[in-house]
Amino acid sequence: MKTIQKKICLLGDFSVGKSSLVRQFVEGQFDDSYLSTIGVKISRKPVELSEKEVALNLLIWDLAGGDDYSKVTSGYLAGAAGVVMVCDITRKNTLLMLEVYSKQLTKVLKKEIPIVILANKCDLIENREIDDAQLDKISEKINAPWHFSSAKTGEGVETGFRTLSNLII
Amino acid sequence: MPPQPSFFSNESRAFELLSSRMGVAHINSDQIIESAQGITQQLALSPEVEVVSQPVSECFVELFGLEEMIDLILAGELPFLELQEVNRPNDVGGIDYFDFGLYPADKNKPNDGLILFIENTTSQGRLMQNVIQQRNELRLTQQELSKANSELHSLNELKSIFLSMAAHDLRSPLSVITTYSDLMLNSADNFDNSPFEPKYVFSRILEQSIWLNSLIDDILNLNMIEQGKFPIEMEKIDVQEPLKAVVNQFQHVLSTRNISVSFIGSEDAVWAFADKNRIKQIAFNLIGNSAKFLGDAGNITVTVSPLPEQHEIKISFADDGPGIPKQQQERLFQLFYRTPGASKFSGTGLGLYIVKTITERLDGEISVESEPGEGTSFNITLPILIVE
Repeated sequence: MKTIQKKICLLGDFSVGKSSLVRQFVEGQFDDSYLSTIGVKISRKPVELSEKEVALNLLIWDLAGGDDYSKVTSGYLAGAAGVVMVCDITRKNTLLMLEVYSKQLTKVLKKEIPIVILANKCDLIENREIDDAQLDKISEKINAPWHFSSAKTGEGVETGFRTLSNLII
Repeated sequence: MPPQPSFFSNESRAFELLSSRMGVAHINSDQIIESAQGITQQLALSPEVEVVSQPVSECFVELFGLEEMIDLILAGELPFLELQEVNRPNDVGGIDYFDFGLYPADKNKPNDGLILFIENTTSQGRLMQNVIQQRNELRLTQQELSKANSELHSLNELKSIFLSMAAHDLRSPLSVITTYSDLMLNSADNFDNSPFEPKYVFSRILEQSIWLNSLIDDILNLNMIEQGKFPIEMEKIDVQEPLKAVVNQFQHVLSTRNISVSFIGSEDAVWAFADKNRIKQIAFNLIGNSAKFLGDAGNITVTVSPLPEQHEIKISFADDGPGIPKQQQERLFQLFYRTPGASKFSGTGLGLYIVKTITERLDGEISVESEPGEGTSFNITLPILIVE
């Protein structure tokens, strides 16, 4: 089995759960308290793609969200093989931010790379502000499949990262 | 006075302080580390392996994938590369922050090699994190307040609409009652002169009185629900009894219209731990709704099906009325919601909200099945009580 190392980035508005998704994916843990990320946090996770006979070593760049998207410059995104874009289904404006990040990504990288959208916090479905049709629309617009996820319960987390892993190999 | 060279010598205190907070490495044009000082070695991916003679992007996880950019700096096409506030976990479970920078060693000859400059910015980073944390929490609170404000605003608008509808709906049955009572009073001495059969007139008066009573009940119930004081008196009951009572009442009231109300149940008692008056209220609202939309003809069927294997009782209220389009069904149980088709009928948008509230208070669930032109069925499930 061939071993490959790839860098992926997580982008999305503040408090959508990017760091929690990484923690759930890498460590299988969840912490309810909210700690804003500044700058970038890099984690590593091996992913075995047996159907492609590849042992993938993912370097996951968890980038700060919020107004600082303009700081997401080439230094952070360069060399990324794919991007996980995250929105919070209980805050509709976090979906609008995905378009902003998508434009920034194209502007900085000057090429298209695989993207997967995670509609996070699906455990809070009763407070949902983003519906399937809106997710379908953004998915079509930025050419990225979307999945529901919950960093809290773990639902869809593995699927989301695996989908991207398969797209980048 | 400029510092003496010895001030920055390897043995000086100044050098010691700098080395504890910063790291510097010389990178050659092949991206290989030629020399390293300060914290460079301890921050490497494998601190136990000497970084000198290693490719820089293999020593620092932060620089993986940036080889092309490093080449651009070496070619003079990019002035520098900086990564700020790189998070690194520390030994006590916290986060330390570092700034990474790659700059040409000689601005005029970038191809000669680069300087990797690493600075421990934990103090500033923590301050910044604190500020961002507070800003983000404030924004989340603002967003929640804005959402709550918008919900209150729309609820207030709905309440205004409700008040005007309620005033109208209270007046309509009163007007019918007054007209028919006046007619009967004037014909009291000789009913033969009356243009209507007394049975018809009294059934209309009864129908309108029941409707008026139900409207006032709904308003009072809403008030109790909003105050969290909606009483439920649970007891062991045969759920068929309150349902049959309401069906009988409607059979009587609707006898002058061509609407049939029928009950299909079990010969044996169907036991539940529930509130019989609230069950009546559910039936009253749902049968009343069907009767309203059926107009002058139609069928209403109340069916009780005990499902002991599923530990529940299914109660269905079905009619062969105009039906409800799918896109309107999701909002049916919302407070004050009225379908566009309902606007020509009297109603306040309270009934189904109250029915859902009662059903949930009885540990049950309610759903609707409907197709335009094919009637509507409201299905309620309640926990069954198995009596040995």
